[in-house]
Formats: sequence, C-alpha cells, structure tokens
Amino acid sequence: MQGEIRLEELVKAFGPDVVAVDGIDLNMPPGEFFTMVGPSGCGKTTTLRMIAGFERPTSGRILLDGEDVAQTPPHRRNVNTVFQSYALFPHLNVADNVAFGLKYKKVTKAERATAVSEALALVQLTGFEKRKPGQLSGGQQQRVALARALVLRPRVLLLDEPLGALDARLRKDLQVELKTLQETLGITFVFVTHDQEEALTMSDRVAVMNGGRVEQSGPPQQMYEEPATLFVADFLGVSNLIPAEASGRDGVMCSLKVGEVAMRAQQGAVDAHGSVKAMIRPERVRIEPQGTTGENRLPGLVEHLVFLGSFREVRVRLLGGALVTALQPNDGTESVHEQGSAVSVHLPAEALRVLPDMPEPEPETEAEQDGAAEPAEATENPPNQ
Amino acid sequence: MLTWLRNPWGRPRFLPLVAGLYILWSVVPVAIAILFAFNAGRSRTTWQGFSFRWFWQDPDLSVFHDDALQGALKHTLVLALISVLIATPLGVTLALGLQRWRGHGSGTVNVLMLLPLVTPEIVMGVALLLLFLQLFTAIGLGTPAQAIGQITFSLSYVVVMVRGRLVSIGPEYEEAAADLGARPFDVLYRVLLPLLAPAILASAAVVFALSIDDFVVTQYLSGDASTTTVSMLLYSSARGAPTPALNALATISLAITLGTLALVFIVYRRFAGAEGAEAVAAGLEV
Amino acid sequence: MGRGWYRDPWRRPRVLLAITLAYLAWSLLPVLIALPMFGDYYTQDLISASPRTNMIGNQIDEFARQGSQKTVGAVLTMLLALVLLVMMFYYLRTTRRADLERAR
Repeated sequence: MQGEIRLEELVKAFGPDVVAVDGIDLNMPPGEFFTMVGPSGCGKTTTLRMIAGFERPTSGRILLDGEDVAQTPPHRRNVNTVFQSYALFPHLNVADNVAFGLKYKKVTKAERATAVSEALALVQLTGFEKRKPGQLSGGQQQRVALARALVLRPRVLLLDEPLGALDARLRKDLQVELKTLQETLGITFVFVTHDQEEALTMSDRVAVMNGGRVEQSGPPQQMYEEPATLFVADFLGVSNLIPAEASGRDGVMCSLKVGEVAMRAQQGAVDAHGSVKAMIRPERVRIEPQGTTGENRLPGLVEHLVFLGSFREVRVRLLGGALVTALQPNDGTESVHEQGSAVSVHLPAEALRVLPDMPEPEPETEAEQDGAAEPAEATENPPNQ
Repeated sequence: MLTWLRNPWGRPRFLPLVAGLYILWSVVPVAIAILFAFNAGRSRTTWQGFSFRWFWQDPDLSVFHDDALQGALKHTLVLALISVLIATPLGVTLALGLQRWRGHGSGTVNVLMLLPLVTPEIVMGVALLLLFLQLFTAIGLGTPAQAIGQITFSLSYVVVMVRGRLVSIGPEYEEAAADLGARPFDVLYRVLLPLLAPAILASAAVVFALSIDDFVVTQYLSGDASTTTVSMLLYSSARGAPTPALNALATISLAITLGTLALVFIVYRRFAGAEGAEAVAAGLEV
Repeated sequence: MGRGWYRDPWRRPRVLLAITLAYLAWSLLPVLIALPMFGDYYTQDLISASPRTNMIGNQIDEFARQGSQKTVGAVLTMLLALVLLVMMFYYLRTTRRADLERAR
C-alpha cells in the first residue's frame, strides 16, 4: 500500500474570472502527514476536493501512485474523506454509518462486523454502535467520521479542516490523537487547515498556499526557519519585517541599510538589490543596553512590555519608525528595560533573512525551494535550535 | 387596541383577537354543515334531532344506499389515488433533476414549474378542456383526462416541497456516500431517498388533499355522469332541494381527508421522531 | 448552491433555508392568492347567481363549458391569462429590483 500523491499543474477555474487553483505542483510522499495551510480562499479546500473527486480539474494531473485519477469519479478512487461537518448519515446509527462503504468491498457479514468494531476501537468509541449521530457530541461525531473512512483501508485519507468546529481543548487532544493514528497506521494523511500552528505541530510536511498558488512547501521546521517569501514568513508564526535597502553580496552575506545603519544578513536572498524586507523571528532579537557597539545594532525606544507568562514581549520602536518585537524567556532575571528607555536592538546576522519585497509570482515546488536554499545553506552555520 | 398603542411590548391582545375571529369565521360554516349531516329530519336549516339516518339508515336517500352519492365518493377516491401514485414519483424525479440542472434552460423551467401555483383554475380548466377536445381526442374527457389535469397542477406542489428539502439537505451526504464507494444510484437509494422521505410523504399528502378538493379542473374534464366527484355533486345539488345526505357526503369526504393527513403525520412521527413530524407539518403548511 | 471554496463552514444551511423560504412565501403570497382568484366563478355562482354580480370567470365558464361557443370562452381565457402574466411580470420585476437594492 503506497499512497503517494503528485499534483501536476493543477488548475481549477469556476468560470473565466474565478480561478480557485492556479497551476500548482505538489508532491505528497507516501505515509506522511501532509498539510495544506493558508488563509480562507487560498484554494486549499478546492485542491482537496479535486483529489477526492468532488471537483473536476480544469486542467492538470492528479497522480495517485503514478496513475492519473483526475477523471475518475470519487466512488472509484481509493481515497476517503473526513468532512468538516462530518456528514454522518442521520438516518443510520453509528455502526451502519461506519459499515456504509463496506457494502462495496465484497466482505462477508461477519468480516464486516469485525471491521466495524476494529475501526470503532481505533477511535475509542467501542460501545457506541447503536447510537444515532444526533446523540453524539462534536468530538464523537468526528471520530465516527474517521472510523467510517479508515475502515475501508484507503491509501490516502483526506481531512478537510476536521477540527474547525471543536473547542480549543478538544482540538488539542484530537490533534495528538490524529497524529498518533497516522503514525500507527502509516496511511498518507492530507490535512487542510487555516491554523498555521496546527499545521506546524502535526505535519511531516507543510505546503503554504495563497491565492491559488503554493508559496512554499517543505518540512515544518524548514518552513519556519527559512521562509522563502514574505507571505510565508508572515503567515507561519510571528516575524519582524523591517524595510531595508539591499546592495548585493558582501562575501557570504548580504549588505543592507536599515535607515542609515549598515547591516549584514546571512540568510535568504543574499544577492538581492533594491528594497527588501529584513526578517527576523522575535525569539532571535537581542535587546541590549543603549550604546552597545558591534555589528547589526540599531538604536530604539522601548514602547511596550507585555508579560506573557513564560515569555516577555518587548516592543521597540526603531529610530527609522519600524516596530520590532522581541521575545525574552522569563528566566527569573529582571527586565532591565523599562517602558520608554532607550536600548540597542541587536539583530544577529545569522538569524537575519533577506526577503524580496515583491510578492512571489511563481509557485515554488519543493525541488526548487531546496535548490534555492542549498547554496545559502552551504555557506552558513547550520541553523541551531 | 389603545392598550397596545400605549404599550407595544405588552402581551398582544388585538392581533390574536383578529386571528381568532377569522378562524371562527372560516370554521363555523363548516361546523354547521357537518352538524346538519346528523340531522334527524330532512331540513338543512332546522335542527330536528340527532341521527345517523343520512349516513346509512335511510333506505333510499342515505349515502350508503344512494348510488349517485356513493359513485361520486368512489370516483373521488379513485382520482385521488391515481393522482398521488403518479404525481408524487414524477414530482420527486423532476425535483432531483431540476436541482442538478445547471445548463441554459434551467431558469425557464424553474419558472415554468411555479406557474401552476399562480394560474387561476379556470384558465387551466378551459385550456385542458380544449386540449382534450381538439388535440388529444383519443383520450377525450373522462377519468383519464381528469387524472391528467389534476396531476398537472399537483406536480408543482411536489416539486416545490421536495426541492425545499433537497436544498436544506445540501450536497454533503451525497458526496460522503460517493466518497465511500456508492455509485450514483446507490447514493439515491441509500442516502437521498431516506433523507427526503418526510418531504415526499408530506407532498403525497398534499396531492391527496388537493385532488379531493379540486373542483374546476375536474368539472371541466368530466365526461358523463359516471365521472362526477363529490365536489361536483355538491356544486350541482346546491341549488336544488338536497337532503342532508349531501352534508353526510361532505362530512365523509372531509373525514377521509383529515384522517389521511393524521395518518401520515403519525406514521412519520413513529419513523423519524419529532424532527420528521415537524418537517411533515411544515411541508403541509405550504 | 455553496460548493467548493465558496462554502463558508459556519453558515448553517438550515437557518438560511428557513429565512429564504419564509421570505419567498411572504413575497409570493400576493401572487399566490390574488392571481388565482381572478378565475373564481363558483363562489359567485353558489352564493349569488345574479347576472349583476357576474365576473369574468363566470363569462368564461358560460361560454366554454355551458354554451356552444367554446372559442369565445377560449379567447376570454387568453385575455385573462395575458393580463395576469403582465401583472405577474411587473410584480416580479419590482420585487427583484427591491431585492437587488436591499442586497446592495
């Protein structure tokens, strides 16, 4: 059982002006937890529906283990879906719901019963067979939907924002359960969500989508540490994006000017020229006493201090006008910087990333993204953490 | 009313009064008619005691003995049954087809489906009469023509009710069923029809009631005396000096209609619980 | 009908349907009741058969069903139907315009 999906130049247009999916190429290796994440309307659900077979692509190929299934109707594809609203058949009880698809699988009655109880055990709902969907809570309904799909042993399981309707605590629990389930079963999971945190914590591989295109795809850590575009940097986690003027390479780093101050950045589009954004994660920003000398230091005034429990958030207004957020662990030391005090903001060159200012027009395949990252990687210190 | 003007948020007194008066105004004449069906004497205006005479006791004139009255009752029920058995499945398939049709004619057909609801019956009656007299002379007037006429306008009711339910169901259950391996026919049979059952049942009840109640189209398309229905009989006898047997006939007819509707309501409540019964009731209000 | 990426997961179809149907019924009610009443003849016939209270329905019925001049009945029916069609289209146009205004 493989379960590899490849999307090649997939396009879906609902009429001439409405292009939901604008030519995407994605690779979903077998046995992995793959997530498509992005804001509403970015095309992730439409893509999922095309993989499931509910929408027919305008052009492009959908390869399931090498076979193009783009024109196959959904009931003949070996993929199953867990819907956002679960879509449990209200006129059937739990056991009949789960057994629904088994009717087409040529199994005996006894085998069917066994499969149903196994599936229910897998989602920890043994004993719920006679209940009707209307008598179940949201989380239970979701698990029945899961069982109903998994009992058919699909090669790929598609999940369309399944945790969207649940409260925060239940969502966290189910995230863990889903991840464990995927690792146990080894089936490819294709997960769609708009919650970037969910995407980062659960997946083996993430694709960030925007406006019908894939901005970037790769393992979550790589996506977080090395975002290729402004959108990805802003979407995943929190970033500081500081406007700067780039003037090309200087050795292995990029020369930048933020306002009047010259700086160097080691990551990203090191050869860039012109207006760019310098991006750094809040946890890498260092706040130092005013007047500290050294490279990559900018003067600023502390505008705001926010206590976040395990972290302190320091918001500094740079002399150029940009706002920089720094995250300091609450390790017991007193904050030396009060609101209104002047400080020096240190943006370490190895954590500073150059991102081109224009939005990226072409979709990035994973191969391209790796290729772009390679030369920069080879010349840097390996990212710590 | 003045109290209402002074306190609009208080308990409404005027409107329920108006509603109550209206209901009374509609129901009282019918109640009186039913009452006189049980009259011991021949009068339809003077109460002469309670009796079942006009139902079965009187050897010549009661409903049970008078052939004309019985014939009318039987014919009415036959027509109603035919209408239900044909209009309901036809209407359901029409509703399903219309729902999926996204092509160019769909807007026009959608409007056409609603047309019988707003057309005056006499327009339909005359049109159908001329149709069967001039065009479909092979069919001619009589029971088949009456049935066809009734089915024609009943279809719209079925389509409206079933489509309403279809829209509220949404596409998700069909998609889920297909995703799990059900072929299109299986989806229909295992998922859609069970989910549509309340609307289908309710629309069948509506067609039944409409058919029994129908006067104009049935009258226009009737051939000879054997194709008289209860409504036609009531109309033609109203001017003469009818006996309360007519009231008895009307009472029986009303009882059958109400009984059928109540049966449908009960049957569905047992099958699908409160939600189904509400759906049926909502459908009947259309 | 809410397919694909337009589908807002939080919009419950049942509530929307209830509102839509209620509004439809309320706006169609004048048409559903008034227009068919144009053809009513048996009420007049039963309650007051006097020729002074004759309506067009009565005329149509007289010619088409009772008399021998079915063509006259047919013509009267056509006229009635045309008048009703015009009224209905006018009604639909005004309500559609009102709906568009409201939607904006």
